[in-house]
Amino acid sequence: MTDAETVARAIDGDEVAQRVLYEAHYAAAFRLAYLLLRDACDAEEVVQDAFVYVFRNLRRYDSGRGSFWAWLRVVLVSRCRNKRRRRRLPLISLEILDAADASPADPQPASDPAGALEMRGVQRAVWEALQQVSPGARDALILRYYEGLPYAEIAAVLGCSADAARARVAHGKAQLRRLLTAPEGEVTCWRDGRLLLPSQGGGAEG
Amino acid sequence: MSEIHPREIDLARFGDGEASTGIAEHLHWCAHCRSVVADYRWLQGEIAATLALAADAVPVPRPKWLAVQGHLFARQRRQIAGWRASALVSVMLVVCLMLSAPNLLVLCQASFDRFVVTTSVVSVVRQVTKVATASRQKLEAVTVPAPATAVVSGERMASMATPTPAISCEEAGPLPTPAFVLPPTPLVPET
Repeated sequence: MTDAETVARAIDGDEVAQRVLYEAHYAAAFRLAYLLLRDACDAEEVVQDAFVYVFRNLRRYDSGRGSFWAWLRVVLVSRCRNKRRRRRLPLISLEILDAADASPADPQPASDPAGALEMRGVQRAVWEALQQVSPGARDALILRYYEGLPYAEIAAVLGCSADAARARVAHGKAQLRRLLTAPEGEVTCWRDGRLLLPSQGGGAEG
Repeated sequence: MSEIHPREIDLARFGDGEASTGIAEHLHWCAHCRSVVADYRWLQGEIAATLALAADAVPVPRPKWLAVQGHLFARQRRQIAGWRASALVSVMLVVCLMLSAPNLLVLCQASFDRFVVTTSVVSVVRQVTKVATASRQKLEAVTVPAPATAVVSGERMASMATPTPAISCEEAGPLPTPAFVLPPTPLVPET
C-alpha cells in the first residue's frame, strides 16, 4: 500500500491506516523535532501534539500540494517554534523554587547529544556553535542541510519568502563561521581553511 | 576585474551554489575570497554530517499510538458530551418555561397568529392597490392623448395646443342675463 493510499484510507477514518502513517513517520518527526528543540522530552511531546493535530485535520490535507510528510513537517516545525517561544517564558511555581533551594539544579541538560555522541572534534565544535546561532537561522540551516530542502520548501515551512529563507541560511552560515573563527572562541579557531581545536594544541582537524 | 571584495553573505550564498557571474569573476584572481568560499563549502558538509550524526545518535522513544488515539477519542467524547449537555439544557429551559408561565405559550401562539393575520391582510390590501393603480394607468394611457410638443430653441418644449385667448375687461361683452333672477328682497322696516 502506497503512502497516498494509506492517507486516503486514513482520511476515510480507517484507524489502521492512521496507525500505519503514525509509525511510518514517527522516527523522522522525532529526530527533526529533536534537532530543532535540542530536548528529547520536548521533542516527544511536540511530535505527539503534531500527530494529534494532523489526524484531527486530515480532511484539510491536499495531496496535490505535497506529500503527507511535507504537511506533517510544516505542522511539526510550527509546533516546535511555538514550544521554543513558550520555553523562553517559563512558568515556575513557588514549590519548585523552594525545591531548587533545597537541592542543587542539574547542571547538565536531560539529553546532551555532544556528550552522548562520539562526535569528532570538528563536529562537536560545529554542534556547539550551532546552539549559539539565532533560532530562525538555525531552523533554516536544519531544514536545508538535514532535511535537504530547496529554498522554496524552506520558505513554505517557515512561512517566509524564498529570498528570506536563502538569507537566513546564508546568515546562519556566516554566524557559524564567525563563531568558529573567533580568536577568543571557547570552541575552536580557524586557520588556513581548517578548524583547529584549542584543546588539541593546534592539531589540524577535519 | 573588481578590487572590491564581495560581502561575506554573498560569498556564503555563492558557496551554496547560487550563481553570480560577478563573484565568479572576482574569485578568479582573489585568493582570499576563494578561501572564504572554500570554507563555506567545507562548513556545509560539516553541518550536514553533524546534524545527521546528532539525529541518528539520539534514541528514538517508542511510538505511543494509544496516547494519540486517546487524545483523538477524548476530543470526540468532549464534543458528544457538549452536544448532549446543550440539548439537555434546552429541554430543561422549555420545561421550566412551561411550568413557571403556562400562559406564556398561549400568549405567544396568539400573538403569532395575530401577526400572521395582520401581515396577510396587509399584503392583500397592497396587492389590490397595486392592481387598481396599474389598471387606472392603462385606462388613462388609452383615453387621454398626450399633448403634442415641439422643440423650441433646442432646449425647451413648447405646447402645440390651441392657446387660450386673452380676454380683457373692455373687450368682454355684457354678462348674459340669467333666465331667472331673484328680485331683491325689500327692506322691511322693523316695527
